[in-house]
Amino acid sequence: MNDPRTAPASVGAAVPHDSAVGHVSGTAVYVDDLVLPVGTLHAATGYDRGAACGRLESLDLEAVRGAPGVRDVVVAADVPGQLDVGAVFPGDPLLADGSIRYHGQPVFAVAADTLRLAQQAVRRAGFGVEPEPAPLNVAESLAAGAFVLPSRTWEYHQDSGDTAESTEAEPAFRVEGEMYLRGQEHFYLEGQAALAVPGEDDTMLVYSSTQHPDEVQHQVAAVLGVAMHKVRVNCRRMGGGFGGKETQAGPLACLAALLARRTGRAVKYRMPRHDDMIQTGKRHDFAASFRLDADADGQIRQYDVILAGKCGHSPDLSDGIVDRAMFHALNAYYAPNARITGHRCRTATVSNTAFRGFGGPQGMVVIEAAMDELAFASGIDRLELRKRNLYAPGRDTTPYGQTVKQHVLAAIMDDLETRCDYRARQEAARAFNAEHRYFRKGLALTPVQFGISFTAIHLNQAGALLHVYRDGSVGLSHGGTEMGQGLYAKVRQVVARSLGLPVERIELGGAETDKVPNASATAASAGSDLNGMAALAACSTIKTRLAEFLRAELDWPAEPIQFAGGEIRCGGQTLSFTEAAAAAHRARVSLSATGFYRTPDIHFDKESGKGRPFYYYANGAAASEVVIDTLTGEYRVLRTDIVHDVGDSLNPAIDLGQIEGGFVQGLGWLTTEELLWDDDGRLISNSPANYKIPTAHDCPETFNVTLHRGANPEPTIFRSKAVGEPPLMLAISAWCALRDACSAAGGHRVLPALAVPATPEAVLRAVRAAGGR
Amino acid sequence: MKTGHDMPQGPAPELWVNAAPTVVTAFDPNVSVLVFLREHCGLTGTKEGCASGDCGACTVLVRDPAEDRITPINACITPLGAVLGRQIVTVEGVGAPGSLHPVQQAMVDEHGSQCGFCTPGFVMSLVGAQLRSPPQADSAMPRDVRVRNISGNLCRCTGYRPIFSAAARADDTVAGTAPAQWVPAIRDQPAERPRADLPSSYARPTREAQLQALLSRLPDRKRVPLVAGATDLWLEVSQRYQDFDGFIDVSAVAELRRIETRDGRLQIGAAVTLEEVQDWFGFGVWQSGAITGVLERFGSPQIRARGTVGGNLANASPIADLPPLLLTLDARVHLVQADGSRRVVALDDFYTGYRQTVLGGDEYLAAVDVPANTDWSALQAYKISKREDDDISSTLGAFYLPRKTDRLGACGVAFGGVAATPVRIAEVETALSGQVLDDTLIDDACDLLAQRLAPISDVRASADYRRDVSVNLLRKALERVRGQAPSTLAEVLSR
Repeated sequence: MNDPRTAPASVGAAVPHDSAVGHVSGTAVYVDDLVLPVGTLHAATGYDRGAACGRLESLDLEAVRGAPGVRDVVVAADVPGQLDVGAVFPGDPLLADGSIRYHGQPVFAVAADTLRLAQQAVRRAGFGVEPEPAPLNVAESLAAGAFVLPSRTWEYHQDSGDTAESTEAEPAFRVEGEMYLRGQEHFYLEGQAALAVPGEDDTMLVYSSTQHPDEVQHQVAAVLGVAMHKVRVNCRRMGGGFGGKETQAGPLACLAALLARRTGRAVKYRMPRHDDMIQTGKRHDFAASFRLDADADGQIRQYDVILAGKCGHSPDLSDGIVDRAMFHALNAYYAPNARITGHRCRTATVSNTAFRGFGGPQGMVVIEAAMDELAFASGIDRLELRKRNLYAPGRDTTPYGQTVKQHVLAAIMDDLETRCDYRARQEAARAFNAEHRYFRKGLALTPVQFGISFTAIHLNQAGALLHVYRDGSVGLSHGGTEMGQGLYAKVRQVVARSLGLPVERIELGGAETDKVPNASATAASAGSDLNGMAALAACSTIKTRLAEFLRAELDWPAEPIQFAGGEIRCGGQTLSFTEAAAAAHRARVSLSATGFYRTPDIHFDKESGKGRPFYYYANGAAASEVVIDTLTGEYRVLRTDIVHDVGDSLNPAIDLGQIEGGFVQGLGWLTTEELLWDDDGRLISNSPANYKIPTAHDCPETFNVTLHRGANPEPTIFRSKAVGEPPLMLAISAWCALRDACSAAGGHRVLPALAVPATPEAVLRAVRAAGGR
Repeated sequence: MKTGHDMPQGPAPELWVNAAPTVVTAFDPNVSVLVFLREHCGLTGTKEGCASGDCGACTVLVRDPAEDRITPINACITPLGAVLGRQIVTVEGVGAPGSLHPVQQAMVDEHGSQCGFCTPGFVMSLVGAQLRSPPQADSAMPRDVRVRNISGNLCRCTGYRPIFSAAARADDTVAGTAPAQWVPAIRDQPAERPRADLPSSYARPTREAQLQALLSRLPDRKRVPLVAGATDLWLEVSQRYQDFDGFIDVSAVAELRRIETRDGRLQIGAAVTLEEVQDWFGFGVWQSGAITGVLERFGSPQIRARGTVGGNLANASPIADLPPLLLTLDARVHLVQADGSRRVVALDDFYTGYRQTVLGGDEYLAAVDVPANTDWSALQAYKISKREDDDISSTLGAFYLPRKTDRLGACGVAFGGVAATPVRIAEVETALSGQVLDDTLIDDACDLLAQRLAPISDVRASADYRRDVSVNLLRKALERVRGQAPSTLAEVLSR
């Protein structure tokens, strides 16, 4: 019997998640589950439940201080160190400093005996806020020229010199349009949480549900006015992150630490879901306008697009997010000329942040919508048009000057087209549509080409710390955090393979800033690429030391040494790893090593928009079929087929999970998840009762995922590819299929606009625009 | 405690937490089952994802050892008082590392967890489904049943596909055996039942007379509300942090738990759960696909196990799903005062405004009735929401369209979600009743409806959509009576 739990867990095996047993038995510990020190207090923040934006004229906290169980109350002036906790750029005061910048912004915080008492106390505050006008949406921001950071335009002209205006004849086809893409709430099942435990000599231990322990450490130190080495941050795991715990976890931890420092007691701050939804950033809304010119054969001649992201009140990570929307503005398609503009709109709303795809999905939806427009205008088949425009040798330079070296998408799309029986099903859908009065089917096949690397180059580094104990067991720490994506399982496999040990011999204790310093956020899909390589480097160091020891002390021959099957072998010599560790220890050989990795060959100049920001691209394609009810706008995704490129998979089961899960999360963004604000800037989709992420029903009834075979040409960790973000954008196939079905409702005489998200209401609107019911 | 201060101070209340008899010292009526498990019992396997009954991460099973009846609940919005004298089965009670339950093992083997936070809730929903409906050998469970079993559990990581696989694999393991034998908490349950003593701040009368006696002594119903499932009221506690002095839980009042025919009417007690209504109308002479179809999508299994008919009606929410159905059937509600006097009011007259009814301060809703000779096949209902499962209706259209030879009989047309209250559209009913059903009648009725509706815009839908879709639902319903093409996605896909 081939039990995956005991099978040799080499790289490439479908090993279960390292915490799977803990997950299913409820024994995996999250921050909210930690056993608390005696006397732990609970934090909550107070905010004005009315105002969105204005001057804070008065604040009455008397009733708050007098509320039962309240032990401490802090306002901005109580911060001993730095008030601003902006992760990359300033602009995020920990507590409101004289003005309210968005609805729900924390103005003060309390520590009380219980969470319930803390929440009851913060409701007793009196606020005097003088409203001030401010842009509340992208349109108002653009009209006012209100941006959190400067706009950028990247121009690229390959076929007509460096002038902006082509002198050639009018294009055969020109399509233009505008789109508005709504954002997305992360809805990680585990809300934001932190526990701060004060220590001696101004030290602070913080347990944080964060994708970026180093940033939490940095922020807590700054807020407390101490050096970073006084603060230790620990994250064993998160109950989902998706980008929402990259910068958003910091302020919580800072408030908990501040209250802990002042009270001398441990302070836990777990955000109730409602606070989490209104106080933490989300995926950016984007407004886009595009113009796509093509030749008679449908090949793109020029693509002009303006992408305006709704950043909220502060920059946070919006610089890079709008950049990535721009990077992916052409998805997988070659354009000899392009003009790509990105605006970072300031609005008096919560500061939007990283979310799986980091702007990329928004850029891609626009071009995919435009490609459908072009197909409609030119009469060229949508799939054929897409294939014709893929990057290919000689047509391989992106608008940002990077050469696409690996061309696998044509093969992937061909493979998918065959696997999913695309043409026959297209015919069947036509027949269905002719037969039914009120129901229409739609079908679409779309590609994804997603650049891998942090576009802020300095973040592309990682460290690891490997301990071999004298009983031969191995402890590994790295800077990467586990949020469910299976990073720890993969890195464990890497170490197991390198040292020739079963995975059970490798223990990963969580991300801890005192083990591995200065770690980048676990983000940009780069977790296993970076941390796997850092761990491998640490293994190499240990193996070299052991080899030197065995040769020097045990007179092993100078031949290659193998680490396999729990043994170390060389020539005819064999020693168990355990014996070797014990012997090396007795011989005073260091059995602890660090490993470090930085991604090679990447560079980028933001202002000129030129460089090689991505180490490589991850590729995939999806075909989705939907059916709509033209009387109600209701729909179902009947079937989705995916072929996706993960290089040589480190763990096919985990990669499959990322692909399926990413697709469904993208599907939610594009269909049922509708982020809405009222006219005063208050989020009205503020609870799971009115913000709807997919349920089991929404998972495509037939869902086939195939891993594309083929190693990463770049020397990544065991030639694998990153997989976290790219599959989210495969869901664009379902959105395009819905639009196809809406068009079919009017006999394909019109290709109607379809909103993002395509709620039943939006579908019905599109059906009517198409001339249907 | 202000209610029942004359009650004898008995021994501290008790329940079983898994197989452990557990005494509740210092009972606080505002503590939920979730808070009790996590903070008082140290059982942190049950997670808080939303504290509003929307995500299912806190799913546990409630079991009445006497009846061996098992229901999945959202621990976050269930008062601890509601489970006193009963058994709570948590993830810790179904298996542990080294001795996993087949559902847990299948979730590991099928890679059904990623971040793991929702996982205990899924495990409990799947274990609960096995206990409630033992899996049969060699019978592939239809996908829609698998979907329904986990429709109250949200997962943000996996996309659900591996959870379906795990459910199937676990059912294969358990098929042909007694599912309870796989659950240590039930298999190893104590010999003696937990004491049923209740604290004075949580009354759970079992007879209507007791309920009336409590009501007659009650100083302030705002401080000591009546609850049944508490699936809505508890949000005041879990979301708005309101403290109540106590609760009067009507869910065990025998007279309110009945479904019976009386005087030519089918009478459904206020404390009958939505799940029980679903079962009642699921087969036999009362079979109504319209009712079960709506209830399948009403909240989640966890909500339907606790939520009641009376709650859905008396709550007077404009988006409640049962009132439109009942309105088309000329339903009446039975309102009873603390002194036992009873009045019967047409449901039509029950609602007076947004979240307002004619229910007096000393009254409770005891039952709803509809004509027993209702032609259940003539009832149709369509629920429209952003998300198919576990979502609040943006519009719910209910239509009672009986046919007499070639003409329509007395018709009922009602909508939820389009006005401040559930509404019946009398003009359209009149226009349809007694008429020959042809294209002209359909068009005219739709036009008339479009003029009569003035819906609101909110987070769920715009006024325009609500009006358009309401009109189209009427069209669907009328065309269905004429026996034309399939009228729902489910139907068209099943052909």
